[in-house]
Order: sequence, then C-alpha cells, then structure tokens
Amino acid sequence: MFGGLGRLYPVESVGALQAQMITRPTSDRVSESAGRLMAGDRQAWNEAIARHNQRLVVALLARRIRPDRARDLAQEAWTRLMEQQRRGVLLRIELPGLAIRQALFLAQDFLRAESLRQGADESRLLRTPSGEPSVEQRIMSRQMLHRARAMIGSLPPRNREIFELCYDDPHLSHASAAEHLGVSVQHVRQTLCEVRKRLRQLLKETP
Amino acid sequence: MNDSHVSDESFDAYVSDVLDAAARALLEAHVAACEPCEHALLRHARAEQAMYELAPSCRAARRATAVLRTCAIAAGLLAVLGLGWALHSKNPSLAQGVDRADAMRPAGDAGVAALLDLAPDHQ
Repeated sequence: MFGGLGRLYPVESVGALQAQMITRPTSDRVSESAGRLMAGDRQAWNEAIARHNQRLVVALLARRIRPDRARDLAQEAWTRLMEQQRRGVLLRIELPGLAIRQALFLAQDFLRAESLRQGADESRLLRTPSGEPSVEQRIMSRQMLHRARAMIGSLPPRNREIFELCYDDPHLSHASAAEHLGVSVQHVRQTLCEVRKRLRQLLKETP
Repeated sequence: MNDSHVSDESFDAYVSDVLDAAARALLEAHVAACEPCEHALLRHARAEQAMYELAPSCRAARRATAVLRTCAIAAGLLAVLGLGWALHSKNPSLAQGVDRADAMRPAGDAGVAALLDLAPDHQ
C-alpha cells in the first residue's frame, strides 16, 4: 500500500534539501513554495515532505500510533495531497497544517478499520485511543492551558523568544532561528529541549 | 541511546527531526520492542505537539499585552492633554501662560477680576 512512496524523497537528499532551504528568507520561500506546490512541481513537493514529514509523524505518535505505522500514514497523507493537487481539488496549500489534518484523518480511518477487522483483543495491540483524551483535548483544557501558558510566561525573555520563533513558524529551521537571534544552533536546541522537558513534566502531572 | 533505554536527548532529537535516517530507524526499532521507551516516546511526542499548539497563543497573548500597554499609555497621555485643554477652555489665562505676576499685579478692574476668577473662595 505504501511501498512506492519512498521514491518521493530519497533519504540521502534530505540533508541537502534542508541545507538549501535554511539559506533563504522564510516568507519568500513559503509563498514561492506554495505556488510551486499548486503547480505540481515535484521538487517543491519533495522539499515540503523533507521539511514537514516528521511533524506529521509526531502528530500521529501523539495519538498513540506506532512509529512504523505513523511513518506509513504520513507518507500516505502526502500521496493523497499530491493526488488532490493533480486533480485540481486543492484551492490552496498551507503546510504543514493541511498535511497534518490529512494524516490524522487517515489515522482515524485506519484505526477504525483495524479495530473492526481484528476484534477487540488485537485492537488493543494497535493502541487505539481508549477514552484517554488526545493531546489537543488535554492542552485545550482550561487548567492545562493556563498552567502551560504560565510556564511559558515564566521563561526568561530570550528563551521565550526562541520558543515562540521556532514553534510559531513551522517553516523556520533551527539554523535560521539561531541566525535571526544571533545565537548558536546548539543554544536554540538546548533551550527548546528545556522547554519541552518542562512541558513534558506538566503533561505528566495533569490527570 | 544507551544499551537499555533511549535517552531523553535522543527522543528530543527524534521529535525535533535532527536525527539522521539511520539513527531514526534505530530508535524506532528499539521503541517497537521496548514498552518503557514506547511510553517515553509518547510523552515526548505529546510535549512536542503541545509546543506547536501553545506557541501561537503565547505569542498572541504577548502581543495583546503589548497593545494593551500601548493603549494605556496613549490613554494616559490623552487624559493629560484633555485635562490641559479643559483647564484652558475654562480659564485661558492659566493655559496660555499668562504671567501670574501680571495677573496678580493691581491693574484696575481687569486685575481684580482676574484675581477673583483665580480664587473664587476668597470672594
């Protein structure tokens, strides 16, 4: 089902693509890239996949999908989007949001189908959501949101700036953010690690 | 990654997409066979997802605070200006910077009128 999709982005080209992408201004690159995606430019699609695929995988992992299945579903989502673009049914392409929605839709469909096909015992092995709230539901709970915002607000201003810059703009690489802020890439990554750690602790504490 | 479990640093690198393909595959293979690491990956993925969801609202909240602060300063300035204008309308001699010495100096009926206007309680 997903076998032919590896051809879309050979692993060895990903590093080179990312290196190309961080050298250009984000806004120019995004608008130009959207146009090329709408035109069906294969290179543009490969670049988009290289940049955003892990984001799809993480979104699926957060829904308790296994890593191997998450990767398959992410690739299937990209294929569907490309097909939709070829058929001309996409009015505009906003990434990674559109791809994430497609992947989550596929995940729901997949889990439902597997659950029906394999019965209750085996569906447990697929780690279907078992009444446990999704990360979106958890984060959207008022108390959790308040605490998470308070945590972000308590960060030193420079760290908060790094966090907001990197996570508010999904097209910005760590290298571009570091260049923009005049700090090292390592510093950006360490800061984000620290924020992630504190947020992880917060999610763990939240019932 | 050590012999027993995947480290937090490796999970961080995985979710933020800085691992190379080989290391990523190794981590995924380990997670598939290790339940504690599977749970750890879930926690990391959730935290990463939450960060993407939090950042826009945090930035918007900070911008809103900045706008409110600017509005408060602007309102304060307007209040001061308004007060000055009101005083000017009521008593032009105050706002126009008429020399108080001139106002205080006995100058016939006009000087008396000015004094009375300035200090009505003393009439």
